[in-house]
Amino acid sequence: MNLDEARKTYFLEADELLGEMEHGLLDLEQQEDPREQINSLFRAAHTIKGNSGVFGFDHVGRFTHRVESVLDALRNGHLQVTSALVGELLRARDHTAELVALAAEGRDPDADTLARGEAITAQLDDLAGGSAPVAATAACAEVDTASERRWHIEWNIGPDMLGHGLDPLSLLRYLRSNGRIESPQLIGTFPTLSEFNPEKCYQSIRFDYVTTLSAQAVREAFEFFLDESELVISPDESVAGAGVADGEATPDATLGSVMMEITTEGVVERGGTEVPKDKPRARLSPATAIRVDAAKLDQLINLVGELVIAGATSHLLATQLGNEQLIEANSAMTRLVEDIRDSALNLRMVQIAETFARFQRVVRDISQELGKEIDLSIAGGETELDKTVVEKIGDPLMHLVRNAMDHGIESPEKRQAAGKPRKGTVALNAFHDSGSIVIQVADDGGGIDPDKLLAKARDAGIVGPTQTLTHQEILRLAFEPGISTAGKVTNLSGRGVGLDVVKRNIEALRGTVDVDSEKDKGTCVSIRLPLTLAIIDGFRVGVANSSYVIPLDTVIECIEIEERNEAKRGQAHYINLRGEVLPFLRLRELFQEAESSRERRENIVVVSYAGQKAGLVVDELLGEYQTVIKPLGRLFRGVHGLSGATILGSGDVAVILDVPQLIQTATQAAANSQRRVVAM
Amino acid sequence: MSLHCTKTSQGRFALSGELDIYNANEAKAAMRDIVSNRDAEVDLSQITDIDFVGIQVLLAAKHEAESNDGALHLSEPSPVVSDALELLGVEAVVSTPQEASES
Repeated sequence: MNLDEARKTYFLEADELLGEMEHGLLDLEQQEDPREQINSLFRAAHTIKGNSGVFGFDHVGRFTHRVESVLDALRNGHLQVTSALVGELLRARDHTAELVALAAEGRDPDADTLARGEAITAQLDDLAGGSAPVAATAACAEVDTASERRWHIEWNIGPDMLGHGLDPLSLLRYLRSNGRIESPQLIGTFPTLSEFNPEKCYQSIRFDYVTTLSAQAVREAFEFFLDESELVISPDESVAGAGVADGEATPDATLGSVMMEITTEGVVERGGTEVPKDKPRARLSPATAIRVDAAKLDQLINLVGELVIAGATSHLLATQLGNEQLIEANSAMTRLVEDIRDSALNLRMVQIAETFARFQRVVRDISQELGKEIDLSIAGGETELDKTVVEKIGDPLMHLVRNAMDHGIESPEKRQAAGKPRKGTVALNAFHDSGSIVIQVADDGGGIDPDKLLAKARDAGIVGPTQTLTHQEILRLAFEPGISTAGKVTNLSGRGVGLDVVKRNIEALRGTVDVDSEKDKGTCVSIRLPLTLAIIDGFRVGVANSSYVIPLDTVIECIEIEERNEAKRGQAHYINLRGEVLPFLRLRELFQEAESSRERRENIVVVSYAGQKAGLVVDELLGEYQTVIKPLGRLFRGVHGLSGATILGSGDVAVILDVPQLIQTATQAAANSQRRVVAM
Repeated sequence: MSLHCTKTSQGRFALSGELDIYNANEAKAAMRDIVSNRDAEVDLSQITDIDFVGIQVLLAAKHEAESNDGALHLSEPSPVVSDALELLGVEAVVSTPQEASES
């Protein structure tokens, strides 16, 4: 029995609508013509109110009704959009979310919560001004009492509806709150008690409904019940409330002689010729409504990984056999497997825009709290990354944004004095860069004072008194535990816990954090995260008899080692690449492979990560290779320079190289050898 | 969230708690018990919540009793019960105290 299915839908939809309201409200002030926004806000509040009524969540319904009234006043131009009003509406939205959350737990709000709700609505009414509330209330009734109409409703309740958690009583109660239910009748017979199934519905309901609601609104009230019911709503021809005869011009076209018969097959409309279809509303699209257990997704990805390996094996065999038809069939399959792989991986990828958008609100709230004027600019919202990463990046980002606002951006006065615009900017930016995603949090504030930071670090004993550091190294100290350059401790940041936690969190995701700052100009913190995917496009290389896989997106180019460098074999750790110093590593030495028996020319694969380049010397270039990352066993964990392993089509194992680590090693080795040269 | 049925005297019962879908089967069992008495009276004053499922159980039980030439008196409805019955236009199923005592 899925008793709670319908409720689940209600909560999902409420969540989505609340999200829409938040975005809508934040957008409101930026719009030149906010009418469209106000309309959609109104619709969102209205839908929440209506659905809450249907499900009997009265607290939510009552509160959103007040909010809706204010939005309606806005919609009718009785009210103007002001920053204070938007702020209060945001608080009202939050309160609604709180009430919905309580309803989800099946609890009623306590006195304290209700009091806060009262305070918010009182404030809203205040802002709406003396005349507006009256106008709002009148307008909220949608149509005034003169056009009260009588509808005859025949509702044949589906037999399974009760079992699905839908209670016709709560709908009737909702209808009653918007009109009068007259001469209700239950029609149906019961079986004997022994055959009676208490969760089955045996009755249908007939009643007259006198209301000022529009035909559309009446129909919408039944929305959740439609799937399982037959519903006929017809205008009562004989008596119309307050003497509005049928056929007379009415303010709402749908109030004409409309007869709707709604069955499980769909909506059949009789009588009225032109009945406007439902306004496109923010319904849950199936794509967002399907929730899949992450474990199932992982399993799928795992299977796709196996498929990729199996496909490679079969392709290899086909090539060896030389059977044209088999090869062709295999190629077709390989293409499909690639498509499946991409789609499967895409399931896990989400755009970062949603994470970023949350910060609009944060920035708005905190800047008010701090008495600063701060704008948030967002770029690269369409950048996609793995869902698990998105979930974990929220907290560190929050830390960084707060930090930027609290310590980065100066007060408006100070900014003006420094010749900057009063309004500070915090920028969030995301982009892909050689196989990783980079997320930047930048501000145009005061920047980090390197001298102050260094002094602090010396005080804390992190840096020795005689140690000299580069600018970059000093800035990185900001991420050491126990260091904060904030003069005063606020409740936002400044207690010296924060940036080191951020760093730890990012490193737990196998990412890196870097900071760039110029005094008085601003600070930019860059987070670099791997696109932790189970499958990568690799570049396969051979050393002696072993295969190694380099993540393809880190590969820049492949070059042959020139003859004149031959002399340096074994000694130097860098070459001259078009005037650039390129440190390199010999994989043969690194992994202690046997000397190649055949004397042949070596190749260098140039790889890059985070702006640094290095070369990897290999024997053979074997080409692009799609590969599944298999985690290394416990024994091999921590082996320097390896990030995983994969199984080749031939069944052999190839190791996947950890490029960032190798680049670091190469750079250090090159620096050491240079120093030795200098020392000599 | 529970439903209790207590026998107060011969043929007289009192239901208390929630007469809703969560207790649908208990409600059915209780009513079967009750209508096995030829003339029964059920006190509904302690019902704290009722939904369409609850109403149907009451109606089905009354129907059953009457089709067996017996009677089932539903009495003392609590406010939520009265309200629900009225909303569905079946408030007449409740016996007035007088009718109840006549039996």
